[in-house]
Amino acid sequence: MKSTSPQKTDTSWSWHNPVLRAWFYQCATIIIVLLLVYYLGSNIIENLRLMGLPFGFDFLSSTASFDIGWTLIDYRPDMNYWRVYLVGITNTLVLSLLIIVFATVLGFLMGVVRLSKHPLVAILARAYVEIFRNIPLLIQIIFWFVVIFLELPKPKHSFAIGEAFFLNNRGFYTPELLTDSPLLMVLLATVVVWVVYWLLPRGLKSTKSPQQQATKSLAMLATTGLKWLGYGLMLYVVFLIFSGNFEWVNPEKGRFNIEGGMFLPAAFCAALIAMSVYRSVTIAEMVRAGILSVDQGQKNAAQAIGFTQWQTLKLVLIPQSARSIIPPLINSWLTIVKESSLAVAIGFPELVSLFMQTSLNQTGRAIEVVLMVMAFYVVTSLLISGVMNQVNKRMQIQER
Amino acid sequence: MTQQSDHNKLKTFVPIPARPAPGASNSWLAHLRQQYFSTVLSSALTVTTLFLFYLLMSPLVDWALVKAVWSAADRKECYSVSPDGACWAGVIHWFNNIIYGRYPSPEIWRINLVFVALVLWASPIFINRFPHKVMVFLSLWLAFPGLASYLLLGGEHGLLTQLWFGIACAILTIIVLALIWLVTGRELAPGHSALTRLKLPLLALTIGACLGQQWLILEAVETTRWGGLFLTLVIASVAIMMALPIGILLALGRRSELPVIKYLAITFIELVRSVPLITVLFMAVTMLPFFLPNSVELDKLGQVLVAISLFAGAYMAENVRGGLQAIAVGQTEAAKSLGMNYWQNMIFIVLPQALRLMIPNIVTSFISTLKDTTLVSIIGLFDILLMAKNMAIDKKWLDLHTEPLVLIASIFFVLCYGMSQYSLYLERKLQWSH
Amino acid sequence: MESLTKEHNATAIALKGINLWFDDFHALKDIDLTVASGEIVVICGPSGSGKSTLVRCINHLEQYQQGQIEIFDQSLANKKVASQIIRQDIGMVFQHFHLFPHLSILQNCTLGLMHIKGMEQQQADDKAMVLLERVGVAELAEKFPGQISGGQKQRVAIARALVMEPKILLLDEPTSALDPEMIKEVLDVMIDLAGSGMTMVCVTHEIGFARRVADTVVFMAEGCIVETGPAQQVLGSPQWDRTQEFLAHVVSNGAA
Repeated sequence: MKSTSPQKTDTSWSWHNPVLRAWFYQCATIIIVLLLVYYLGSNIIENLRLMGLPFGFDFLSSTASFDIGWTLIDYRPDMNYWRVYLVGITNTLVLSLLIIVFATVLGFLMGVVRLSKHPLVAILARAYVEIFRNIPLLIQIIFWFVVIFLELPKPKHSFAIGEAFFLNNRGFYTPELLTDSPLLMVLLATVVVWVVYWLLPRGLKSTKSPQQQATKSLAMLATTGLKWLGYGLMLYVVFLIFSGNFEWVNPEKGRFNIEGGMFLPAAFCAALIAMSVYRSVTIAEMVRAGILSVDQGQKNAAQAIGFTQWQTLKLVLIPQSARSIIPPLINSWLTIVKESSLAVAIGFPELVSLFMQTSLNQTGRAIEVVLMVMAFYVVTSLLISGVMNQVNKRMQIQER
Repeated sequence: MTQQSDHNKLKTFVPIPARPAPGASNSWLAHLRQQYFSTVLSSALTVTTLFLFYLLMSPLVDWALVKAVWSAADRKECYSVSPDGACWAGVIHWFNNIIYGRYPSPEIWRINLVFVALVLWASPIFINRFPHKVMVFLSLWLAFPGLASYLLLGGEHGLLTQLWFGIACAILTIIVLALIWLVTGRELAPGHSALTRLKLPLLALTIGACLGQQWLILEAVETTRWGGLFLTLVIASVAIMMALPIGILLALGRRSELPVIKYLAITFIELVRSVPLITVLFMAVTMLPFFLPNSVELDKLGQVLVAISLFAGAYMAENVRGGLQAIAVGQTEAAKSLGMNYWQNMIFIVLPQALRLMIPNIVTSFISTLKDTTLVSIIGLFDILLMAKNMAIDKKWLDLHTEPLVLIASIFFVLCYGMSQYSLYLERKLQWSH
Repeated sequence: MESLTKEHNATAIALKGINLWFDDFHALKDIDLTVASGEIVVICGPSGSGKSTLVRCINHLEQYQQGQIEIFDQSLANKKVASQIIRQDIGMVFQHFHLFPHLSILQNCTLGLMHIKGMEQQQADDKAMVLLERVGVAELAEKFPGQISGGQKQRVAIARALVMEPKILLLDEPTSALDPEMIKEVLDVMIDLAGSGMTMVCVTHEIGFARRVADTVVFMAEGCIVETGPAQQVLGSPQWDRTQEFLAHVVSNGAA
């Protein structure tokens, strides 16, 4: 122990010897923990034996035999529980990703609106924040689902936007892009663009030291990343058009229902809107705090040099506030993934609903199911935290 | 320098008197113009926001107030009277359920009594002149559950519970007397003299309360009949009360220099913080029976309380850690040089200061926990949300979804917004006192 | 150093009847001041006298409620004209430097050149390096503001202002936030600048600098200009008691 006590460190076998005390406490703790584990473990084994449920993951290969309302990947009731697990994961991730996008965009917008000095705008923005922040998320989700989406007209009388988009009380229908070239091509195209960029003469002739290139401003990094992704997407679109390898499927009014196209169930839409709005409030406050935390003098200096308001925001204020906005922003993305589990309340088939409710009820394998579901969230959490640590490290390098 | 010779020739400087700012005494019309219409953009914004406000509020006011039906026998009647209006009649009929759950009506006075007792017991913490706030808080934390569980659960109790109840009654009496003292304008003596005078009566009261339970056995109300706002508040309060000590222990463990304890604490905190609350609740309901031997059975409410307390405790640990880090290392060094050991240092020096810093954080945690309690509706506990949802299945009020949701949303808004404003007030007060 | 296009004896800055209120507080009272092109003006006075506020009015960082300001005979009242003038003709150095922490020293200087004057990266770099060398911090070009000392930061701030080729340089207590050892290096740069013919309005407590370099000294107190005149006169034989009082304090505190 790094004790800085004024007395000479006692090395005898007495209670006053801090090293000895440390060892004692630690051994005691380990023993207590082991005893606890043994106690719980023996209970579990006994209870499992009484219920006739052996512990094991073999149930994953048995047939699920239930239908799932909405899946991103292929699924049929004759597939096994492992497939159900994967469907749950993909559904959760898709929902979370969309919420992240909408919440961040909406949050940034509201954050900037919150900074307005116009009294009426400030009041409205404040009302937005306080209302959506103080009402529990679950109530908001149920409200959007029950009060709004279920009150939409029946499929026969759907709202139609153009001939391609339909909105009714079952959900939202959009045209679907069917193509044999998977979206992975986009990533491939992005990599190609990135490589070409680095090979260009301009990239080679840069006189900046490697250390400098490594410490590029974080905002510039994000924007260049998005730029490359954009180029990659454009390349993909061009490729598609030229290969003719795609087909738009429009949803069409069938006899009782809308057929064809991509279907987003009402539960999905309600969860998406409710959670995006809820999270956008936190993000808006983050953005506002971040921009306000930049020293007023920076604005003065930029003004004195002669930058316009917009240039000041873009070149001076936002890069500096990015420092204080990005870590909590990434944290809120993690919260979004966790909160997406609330969609179980309105019946959206994400991981908790599919695996922890339906599958657990059908197989009775509580422990294994819980372990698998927790494992997904823990892994996702670790990944996102890891990203955040990397981001933090980069920002530290830049500051000193 | 030639100051002496010039001294007589120096002119006396009289500063120009300050004048009032132009436009300060302008009419409210000019003020209006300046605030709302100073530029083209500003005017456009004023007009747009007013229009938006009208667009949002007029149908809402129309539905909720103008066309609303305040008394009706059932949904059909509501609908026939005013199809476009809110059917508040249903909510009024169900109000008792929404607040008290399915607690038997003749026993509701017990819940109200507990609430009043809580308000009285906790009020010294908010009154500036009342001393010994920490003692009051600790007594609330330790003794009040005795009072509450006796009144709320009813039924027969063992000797220890009766003793607990008796002590709680005694303490509550002391506090009420002190409050009366305060209200009648007398200064509160440090308390010792008053207490010693009351020693005998208090003892009598305690024994009386214990014995009284033998005669006055209240009707037992199982926890399955607890519900509504009452259940929500019970869960949230117990969760926060348990989260504090759990959080403190975990935070201390995390800062420990002993690697075993440190990594155990970190693992627990990080695991709990990585998973959503709903999975912890599901786990508690499905897995806890496996962990306990067959002889021990925890009812659903108990399982949920354990789960939420541990969950809230892990998050509280991070808050406490922030508070601990904010207290200068110098405090610990000063304590060590006085000869205090680790626990003395923690309990008497560091924690009081850290906790004081963290009070706004704790209030914020309470608000989060309060909002999180709605999740128990998913696993079938009849909290306020599930009561509201169940209204729509009631034969008389079939399909009445919106009105109960709006009611409970408003209740939560008032509670949470109120508490958040209080926490802001506390933060400002604490800033000044530092 | 490139020649600045100014004519001698032209009026660079003209302040007429400036009055400024912060809410109800009357911060600047009936200020009249003229600064000729190429003139070095030092403004001094006790804290709260409004010196910084006055200087910040000149480049529109503070809004005055009454009066008129003309830069090279062009009124600042018209917003469009004002922003153009501020960009092209006036530079400012602040007490707390206000360097952009997320950019390197070189980037701090080239940012304005590239985004306002539309220069190419290479051209901007070269021009900035010339000025960084002039103020003596060329070797710090790749460092970040968090890594250099206060004196170096202020010299960079001066270079950053100069790189935009202003005709007027405003300095708001440039050495007040510096450790005593670093004040000299910044003052040396300022003295060098003064010798090159730049129009400067400097708020400072450094009476030695004023004595050595200033053409005019303006003494302010409680929002008014108490005394203005040639440096030797105001500093050596002031005509108002308030000025005398202030100078006595300054000398006794060792700032000479």
